[in-house]
Amino acid sequence: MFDPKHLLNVSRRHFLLESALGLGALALGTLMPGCGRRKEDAIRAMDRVLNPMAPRPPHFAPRAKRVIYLHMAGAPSQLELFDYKPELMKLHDQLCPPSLLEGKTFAFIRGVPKMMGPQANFRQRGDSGAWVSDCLPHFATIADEVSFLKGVHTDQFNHAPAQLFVHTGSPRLGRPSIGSWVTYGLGSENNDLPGFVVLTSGGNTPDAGKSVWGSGFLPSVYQGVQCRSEGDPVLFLSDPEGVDRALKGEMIDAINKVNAEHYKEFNDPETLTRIAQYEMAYRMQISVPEVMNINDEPEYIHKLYGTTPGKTSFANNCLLARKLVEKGVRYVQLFDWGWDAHGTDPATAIDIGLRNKCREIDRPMTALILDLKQRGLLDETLVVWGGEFGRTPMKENRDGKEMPFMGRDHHLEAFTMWMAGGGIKKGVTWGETDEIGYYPVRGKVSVHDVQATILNQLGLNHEELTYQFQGRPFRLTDVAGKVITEIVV
Amino acid sequence: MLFLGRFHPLLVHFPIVLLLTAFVFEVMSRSHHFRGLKFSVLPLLSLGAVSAILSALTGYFISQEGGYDQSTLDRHQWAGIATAVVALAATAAKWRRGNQRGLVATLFIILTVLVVATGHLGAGLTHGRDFLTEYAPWNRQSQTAFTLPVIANPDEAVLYADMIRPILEQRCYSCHSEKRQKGNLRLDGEEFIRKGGDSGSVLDGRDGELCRRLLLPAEHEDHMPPIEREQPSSAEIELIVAWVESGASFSAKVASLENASLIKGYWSILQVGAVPSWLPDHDVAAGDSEAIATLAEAGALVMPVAANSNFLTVDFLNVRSFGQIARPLSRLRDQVVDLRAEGKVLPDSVTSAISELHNLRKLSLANASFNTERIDLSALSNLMYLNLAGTGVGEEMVAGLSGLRNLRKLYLFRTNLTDDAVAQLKANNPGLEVDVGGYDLPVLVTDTLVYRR
Repeated sequence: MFDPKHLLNVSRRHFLLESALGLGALALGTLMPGCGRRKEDAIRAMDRVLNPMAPRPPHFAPRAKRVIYLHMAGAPSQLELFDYKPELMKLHDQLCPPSLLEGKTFAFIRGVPKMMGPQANFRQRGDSGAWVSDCLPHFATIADEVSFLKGVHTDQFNHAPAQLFVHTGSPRLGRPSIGSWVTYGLGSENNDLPGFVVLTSGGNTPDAGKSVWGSGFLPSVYQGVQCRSEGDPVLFLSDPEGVDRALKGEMIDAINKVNAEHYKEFNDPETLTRIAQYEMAYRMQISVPEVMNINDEPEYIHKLYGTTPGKTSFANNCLLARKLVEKGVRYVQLFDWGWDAHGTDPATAIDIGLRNKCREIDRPMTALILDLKQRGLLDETLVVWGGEFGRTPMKENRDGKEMPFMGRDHHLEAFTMWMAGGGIKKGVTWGETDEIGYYPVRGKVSVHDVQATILNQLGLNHEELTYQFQGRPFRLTDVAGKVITEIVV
Repeated sequence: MLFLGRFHPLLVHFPIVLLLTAFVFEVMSRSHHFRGLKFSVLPLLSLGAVSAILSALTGYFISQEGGYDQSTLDRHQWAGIATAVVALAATAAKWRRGNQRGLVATLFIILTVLVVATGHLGAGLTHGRDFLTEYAPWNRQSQTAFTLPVIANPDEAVLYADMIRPILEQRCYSCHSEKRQKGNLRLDGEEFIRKGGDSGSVLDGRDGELCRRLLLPAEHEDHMPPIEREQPSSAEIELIVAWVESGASFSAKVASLENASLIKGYWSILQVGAVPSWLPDHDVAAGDSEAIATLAEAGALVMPVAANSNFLTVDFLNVRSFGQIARPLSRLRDQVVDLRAEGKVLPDSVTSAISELHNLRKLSLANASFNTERIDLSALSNLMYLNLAGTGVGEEMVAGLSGLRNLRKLYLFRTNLTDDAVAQLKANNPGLEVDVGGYDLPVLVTDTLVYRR
């Protein structure tokens, strides 16, 4: 029943929200009499506030329902893994021609560096004849399952802005990440698990910090939830000592009762959201440890992935990613740190550290593709692999001096990414770089193009998935982006 | 003169509206009710005649620019001149008044026919002759999407005839062929392509007009096809560029060309993985909202496959009790095209209800337990994707599976079907991909080799 006293409690923010929804729906109703959908539209708008994670239909019939994004933080060298340049070998140790340096800024290269040939052996693999080096012997056997993008380019030459660019569409802070856009657009399938989960390995979080899985200006429920494979999967998930599950249940009940009273008084839908969040957190205390536990996986799975339960590793994270998408988690983001092969020490040497990093990911990521495939999940799961930029065909000469180890500097003009499953063609190589791998000569695609393609596979039109903020509609790809139709089925 | 000609598209709309309105008013004014309208007919007709003369004049000027289909142009020209003359005559007849109602009526009818005919021919010149009927319901074949022929052996294919021409045909012919010759360019034949258009030769390597315009950004004024048309993919463009760079031969086979591997690469990108869209062609009526609500209440995710579709995708992920599922599910048998019941223990009622979903395209029962005697695959003839991984089903399913003619992907990891049964299924349905899983990666020395300084 309407009680005028309620009006006294209406805050400005609350009034505006109510007006936007209530009056907006009312106006829509008057403008379009007899339009059958108007009630549903109003309900849907309300539903987004009350239940932000409720599943929503995509713009068009999707090819993929879920995404696993494997990000090699630090930027792996395309010249040692996928982009085979025999001509560069001939130029090894020769001085770099000035034409490649004019007007360019590098993160560390100063003066005139020397060229550096590929430090790996390459072979064409499978029926598709894709080039994969011997750094990735397992992955080489499934080259026919994936599509390579050889001409990806970015415009950021430092890790943090470049990572932000790859994951939020902008090199500056404040924009939502791809996973947030996806859960905002499609909601989450599993009632008991977050829709956007982040797993990190390699001993460090990415340089750009947690903003690469942040929700920016979208409501904060859409941000990624970081899970750990050591200790509590989510921090402070376990009940504190002396508080058992039953007591916790009673506590949540009590809090929800207070909130329900509060809602009766103020009618603020945000209060209902809060009640729902408490309930979800309570359910997650059971469901998250369950899905994050790999101890019960059979032995052949551990052998396939090379996993050791209880440790933090890329292998464990790959297995977890499979378990999460199996449970309907929409977007799983993996970060593996340690790919910044500058050659300052053995761990960052192209011929030492890089090879060790390759060994760490080779078996797990190959196992992930094969395991998704045999479970029939690869058809509807899009797997994306890449770094934030590439590495130079020149040998790094930090401060103009000879380096103790072989390394390569950051390179934005061309790098390699691959995608698999989720409506991506098999065995296609799109894009080609020049003889030394400096510029793309064909099939040049941008970071925004990659993002548009990811959304496209999920049935989302990147130009239509927008959010009104600061007076204009924003989108992941801002004013750019073109779906890379060449690799899409 | 050419400048004045550019006013033609603007001016032509005046005689059309004025003369047709004059005709309508003339007819209406003969009724007692609207007799006042007769005073409007003469001014409208006079203005119409003047604008018809101006249109005819500017039309002659713009025709000097060339680039139009000559036979249509001739007919449009004479129809336009006739319109102007008859409009003048009708004005004169109306002016004289007297007892010439019969003459006025005759002239008006001729005039109306001429206006419509001239307008139609003129529109055909700018928009193409088939513009009006392109999407007419009786003209279905022209709506088909872009398709390229399948070539079994690309080495033996003639690059121009087998690969380039199908692309030109679908991307360029609508403006550059027998139908129309924008910029005096035809691309529907060797002699025409060699001849080029107003901007000269089109085949001068990468810098020739063909490659240059294709490679310009879509927003550029000179880019072809114009931005408002559907754009070719980059692989199509690169294939045409590769053809031009290889010397633009009209008879050479792919294998004989220096850049054969590149050409085959682009062609394979255009060919690979073309699978039919998994959705049915025609939408259905909306599903019963009560049934959808009941399913949702029982915890099932029920979602339209796309925002504007009535087809449904159903997932039992969050379902805890299946008591209220079977009945609403079978009521949605026309709408459900995609169903997932992964890892669930399905009661017989639900298994039977699933067997009724005749529109189902994708079905995943991975790790689910169900009574194989209650699942009847014979009604699921549209099924394209079936996931039985982890269900432990065996020989009893073979007969049912053999009947699924449209099945493309079948997952049998951790089931009890014998190799023979799998081979039999594959032989039965050549388009079927069966994945029995059990993948293993060999242990390599490099798996444990740690590189050190």
